[in-house]
Amino acid sequence: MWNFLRKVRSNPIYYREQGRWGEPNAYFATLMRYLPLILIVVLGLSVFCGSYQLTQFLGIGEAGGILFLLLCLPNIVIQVLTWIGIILAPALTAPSVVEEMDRGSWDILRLTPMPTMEIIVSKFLGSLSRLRIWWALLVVSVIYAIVVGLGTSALGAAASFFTSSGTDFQQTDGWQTVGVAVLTTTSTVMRPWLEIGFAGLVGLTLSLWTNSTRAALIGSYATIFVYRTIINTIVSAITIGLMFQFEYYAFAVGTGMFSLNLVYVISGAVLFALLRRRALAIDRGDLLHD
Amino acid sequence: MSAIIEINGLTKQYGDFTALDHLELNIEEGAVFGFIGPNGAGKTTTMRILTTLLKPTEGEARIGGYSVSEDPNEVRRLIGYMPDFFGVYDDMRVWEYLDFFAACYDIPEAVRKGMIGDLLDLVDLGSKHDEMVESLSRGMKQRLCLARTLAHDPKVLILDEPASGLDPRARIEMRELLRELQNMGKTIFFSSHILSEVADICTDIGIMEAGKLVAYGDIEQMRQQLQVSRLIQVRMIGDTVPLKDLLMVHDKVDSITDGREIELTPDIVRFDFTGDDEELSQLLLRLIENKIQIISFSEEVGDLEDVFMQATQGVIN
Repeated sequence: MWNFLRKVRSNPIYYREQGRWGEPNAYFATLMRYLPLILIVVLGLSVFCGSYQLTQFLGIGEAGGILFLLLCLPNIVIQVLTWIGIILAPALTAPSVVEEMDRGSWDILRLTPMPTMEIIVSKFLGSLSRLRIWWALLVVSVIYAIVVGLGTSALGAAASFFTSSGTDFQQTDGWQTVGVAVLTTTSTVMRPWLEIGFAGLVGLTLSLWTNSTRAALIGSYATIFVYRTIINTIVSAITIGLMFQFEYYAFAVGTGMFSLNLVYVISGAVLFALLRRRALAIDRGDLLHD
Repeated sequence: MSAIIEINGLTKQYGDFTALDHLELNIEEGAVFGFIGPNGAGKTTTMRILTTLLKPTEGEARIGGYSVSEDPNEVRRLIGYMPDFFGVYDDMRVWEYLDFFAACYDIPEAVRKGMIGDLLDLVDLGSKHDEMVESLSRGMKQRLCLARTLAHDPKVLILDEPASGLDPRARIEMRELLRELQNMGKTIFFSSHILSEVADICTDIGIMEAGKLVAYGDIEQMRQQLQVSRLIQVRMIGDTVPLKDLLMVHDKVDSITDGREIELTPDIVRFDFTGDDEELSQLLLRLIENKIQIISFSEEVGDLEDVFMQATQGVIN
């Protein structure tokens, strides 16, 4: 696996996708021209949703809302970066293979000594590396993870306190609190990466199955929107169910986040397996791209 | 010379449809093989199998001794393929296009720079080194694509309709380029539906129809295989009647025409001859023995179109 990734990192297709030889993706270039607009819309939505809903929910005033907004800033930044990633990733990956087929260069690439899977993964990683959000996302994710981790621990400690005071919260010991904090923290850090990666993978998969770039792009956005809505609804329902079941908020949130990540990991693995199967069929000459 | 391309019983089926039907073909190293036939005859299918892009349903093909099904990677090292629409990247500069594909074939960066210059000179695009690919004409893009197929120095070039859509000048340039590549020792396997192109530069020809190879060999061999009659023209002194009388009784002579009937001079007689060289020589001897005063006795070489029309029946797959 490591060797394979090293080969991909030195693959010319990886660098071509990054723009070393020409501009491989006209759709991405067009979308990038609208990036300031995308940024403003996403930022506005994140701030509006974050501040308005929570001030209403917590019943705090405007000044409290601003304070809460500052505390939630890492979360808002993560949301913005995640949405930018989700919007741009399919624009990078969906045209990657189907454009080559349209242009007639796919067969030429296949005749180079590289296996199809290596070509596909190089295209995937190369194109996603053009998103300039990864370092920012890593830094903010770590900050946010610390905030969430501390918050969950505090909630866990509070739960223990309330239990000993005779409330209905379940008994939690220190190790359980640490466990829940780790679960929630890692899940929080992983989630944006998994969501963006999944969005890119959907684009790549449709790029290999459709015969037009437009179809691949529209299909990708539709799939991601529907999938996200369904999965988020199901996981939210599970989370709320757990909250009622265990009456332990931090555990429910941690499990919910973990479940959501697990769904994305499993879905990604399924898509990857499909891509691999397709790539092997192409290598065997079982598929005709005319 | 040994066969560099060996095709044995190659068949490709899509459900009930047979695109290629038990194709048998051997092409020698250094040959320029013209693969002709109407659209849907199976030319592109054959090429896609030879280039390892498509799996045959039955049969086997070997290039340089390697099976296209079992050793595709070895075959890919030996071949350079130019598809019917050339697959260039309009967003790159001319040199970048060659540099990218040379990198895909693991050619070291230090070697690539000099190699790109040589390749561009070969295809007469040296002056376009820094131009954007999209600014090139169709003929130039075709030549650039051909330069790309040469980047890893393949022994065999498989070119699908290399002259398709080119203007007359670009077509001549492409033909000259193919001749140059032949002189460099490359084996060239190319498809075309422009018969005059094929006749000019090919050492061998294969005619496909409805997935089957209906004729194969050099033009002379094919004419013999297909028993296409030879048109003989005789110019003589004096009255042509004795000549025509002698020809009329010969069993291999047919369709005797007087020069006046075909808007030529009256001292010319033309006829179709279905015999071989030996029999033609005997006929000439007989005419001389009969004191026919011959000035010239020549064969009008039938063109490839005659052979093609004779070989094919207009069946569309």
